[in-house]
Amino acid sequence: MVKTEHWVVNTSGNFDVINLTSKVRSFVEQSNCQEGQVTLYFQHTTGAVIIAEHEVGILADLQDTLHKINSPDQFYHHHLRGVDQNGHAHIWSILVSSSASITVPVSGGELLLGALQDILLVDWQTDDKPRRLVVQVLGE
Amino acid sequence: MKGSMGTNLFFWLGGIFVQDFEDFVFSQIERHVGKTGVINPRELLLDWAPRLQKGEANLNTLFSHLSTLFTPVLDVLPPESLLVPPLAKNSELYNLLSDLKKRGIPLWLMVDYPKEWVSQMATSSNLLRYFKPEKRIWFSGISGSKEISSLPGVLQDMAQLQLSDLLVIDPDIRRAMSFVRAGVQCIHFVNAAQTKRELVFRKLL
Repeated sequence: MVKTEHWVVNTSGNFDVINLTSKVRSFVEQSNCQEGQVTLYFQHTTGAVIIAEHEVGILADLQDTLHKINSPDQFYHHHLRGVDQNGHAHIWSILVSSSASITVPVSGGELLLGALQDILLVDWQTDDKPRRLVVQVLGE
Repeated sequence: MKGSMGTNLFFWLGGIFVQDFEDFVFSQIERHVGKTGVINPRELLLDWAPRLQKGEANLNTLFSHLSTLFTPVLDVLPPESLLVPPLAKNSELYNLLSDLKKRGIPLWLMVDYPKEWVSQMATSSNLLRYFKPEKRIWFSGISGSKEISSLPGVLQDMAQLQLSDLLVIDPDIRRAMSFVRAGVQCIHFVNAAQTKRELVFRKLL
């Protein structure tokens, strides 16, 4: 079986962090999938879905690390287009290896996340428009 | 004079026990008059919470402001139901507070909403029995990245505690990051279960 949903998540951008773990868990439970996998796909180029421990210090360290690699204040060729000023967010999105999607195995109807793993949406966009995600469970 | 030694827990009222101010107001407007159609509605209420807290505005002036933006609101929604967020009915959260209180951990409530809201809530709920009156903190309105970065120092001054004795439960990730960068322990509040997990991890429960 395959079940797909389209989610719209309101974030305030600018490194907002939304914990989606409970929402994904509920989606899997309602799908009645016992064995399979669930994929979460972020339909934007200025953020990421990641699996991480939801601990403020880790998130602050992630932000510091990304700022060291690409500061939002530096020059970006992308800005020459004159549409927006979010070059840093695009680069961060590309650099984070799991940026567009994550997949979590499902067994016994449960998400097989580790004890300290959470599914987080990290939004680096510079405004607070709604963000779109696709969530799809595949299995039986 | 310094206060209690050891970890003191600080809970924000907004975003944990009641809805975030802007979220609440706009959810009420959308419920009663439909979508606002405004691209960034939060900008319309920018700085109103601090102004209310400072006494520079009151609920009547806020409602007048809203009515100029959303005229139909006046016809369908009485001001008092628009402007006072209800307390969350979250037994898991209250059980967590009980467990912490039994452990003897000092609990503080941080509020940057109008005091009259908290007074109204106090008469209709048991929230404040977990937070002794002298252990509430009122902020005079802090917003914007520069002000947020000064918040740990403001909190330390108001609580008269060492930074190492503070643990803040905060629903706002940017504020939360400001706290950890200042050396203050902080948990980003998502729900009671996740908060409890973090407190157990830190051996407070």
